[in-house]
Amino acid sequence: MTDTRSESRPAWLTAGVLGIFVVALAAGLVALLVVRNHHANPGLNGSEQAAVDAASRETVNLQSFRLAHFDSDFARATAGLTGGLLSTFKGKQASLKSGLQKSKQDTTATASQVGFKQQSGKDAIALITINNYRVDAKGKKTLFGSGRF
Amino acid sequence: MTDDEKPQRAGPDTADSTPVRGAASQAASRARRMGTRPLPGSGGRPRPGPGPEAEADRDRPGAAADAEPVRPAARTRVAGGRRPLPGDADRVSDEAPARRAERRDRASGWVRWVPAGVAAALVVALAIVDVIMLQDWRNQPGKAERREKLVASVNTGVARILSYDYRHLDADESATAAHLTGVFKDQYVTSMNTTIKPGAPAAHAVVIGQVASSAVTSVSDDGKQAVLLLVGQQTVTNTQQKTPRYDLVNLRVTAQLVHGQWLVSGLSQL
Repeated sequence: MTDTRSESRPAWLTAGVLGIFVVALAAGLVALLVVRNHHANPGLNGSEQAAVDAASRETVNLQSFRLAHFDSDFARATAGLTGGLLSTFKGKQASLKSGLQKSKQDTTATASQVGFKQQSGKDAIALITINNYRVDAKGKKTLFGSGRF
Repeated sequence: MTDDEKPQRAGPDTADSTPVRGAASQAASRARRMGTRPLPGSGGRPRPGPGPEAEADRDRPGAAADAEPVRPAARTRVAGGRRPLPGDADRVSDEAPARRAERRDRASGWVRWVPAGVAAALVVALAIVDVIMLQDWRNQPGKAERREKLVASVNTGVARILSYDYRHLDADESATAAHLTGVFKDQYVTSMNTTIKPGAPAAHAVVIGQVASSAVTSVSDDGKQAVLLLVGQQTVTNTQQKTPRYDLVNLRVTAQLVHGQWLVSGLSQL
């Protein structure tokens, strides 16, 4: 009995080692298929989608102001800006508020379509089309323009 | 000389055998009746088979020494054609298990390596598949390259959709249709045949579509359907519009991957 066991040990050891190779190669194959499919899809990855979402949200914020809550709306809009655009936009705070006071209407916007164009380092370029509305005291929305950014 | 041909040791029952009438012919006669053949040295008499007494004797102490050992191997030999001789029984009983054990060992030795053989075959097969897949993957275009191809194909298709020239409408239609697929392709052809072809020649209408920028909105998980945002313009001239008119267009375009080529499957103005 002992002899049989000792004789069969090399066979089982070989099978075990080869089994490990089989598992490793199978895992490699699965990983390869996953990576291959991932690379084959020209869709947006996580960071690109995040950039598109942020650009869309910020573009809407930059064109949506309620007179009654102007300061908070303005703060929300500036929170999503950086660099030169931030300082430029801050310089327009007073004129924006006076425009709302004169028209006695709020403004709001919706993004009709958003897309990712390209990424270069930490900068991403998104393409956005929006519709601009005026909102009167009764809450009625009127389309007054559309834009693409 | 084989074992069977060697002179057999006489058993106790053959010691007093006396030939009466042609021992050989008697033995042959008995053998015919009993279905066996006479054995040389047996005095022509068939040897008795292991009866109940013999079985009982085996259990007795010392029986192995003074009684004929009867073992399954010997019985097998009887069934094979002749009755076993005492000498046969000893040898067969010694050799048969040994041979069986040897055969078993040989067979089990071979069987032991079956899992290793199967594993080795799997390793080779998987390694080949892995290498092929790796090579295939390395030769495939990357994500960015695929996206560029998608955008370029859609830009070309949409620019053609937005364009026509009254001087070669059929050529424009066939060139454009090659970039379209599905229901949208049918709609385009219908539109050309019912609206553009009847009216454009009389108006000398020339429309040139241009895509200024395009961006990927989304791509399906299987990578075969995509939605893009395109912005561009159409430059329109006709008999009433001598100086070109520029119409801005914002389009939501859907595209489908058909046989490795991106084709426009839908278009709507934003």
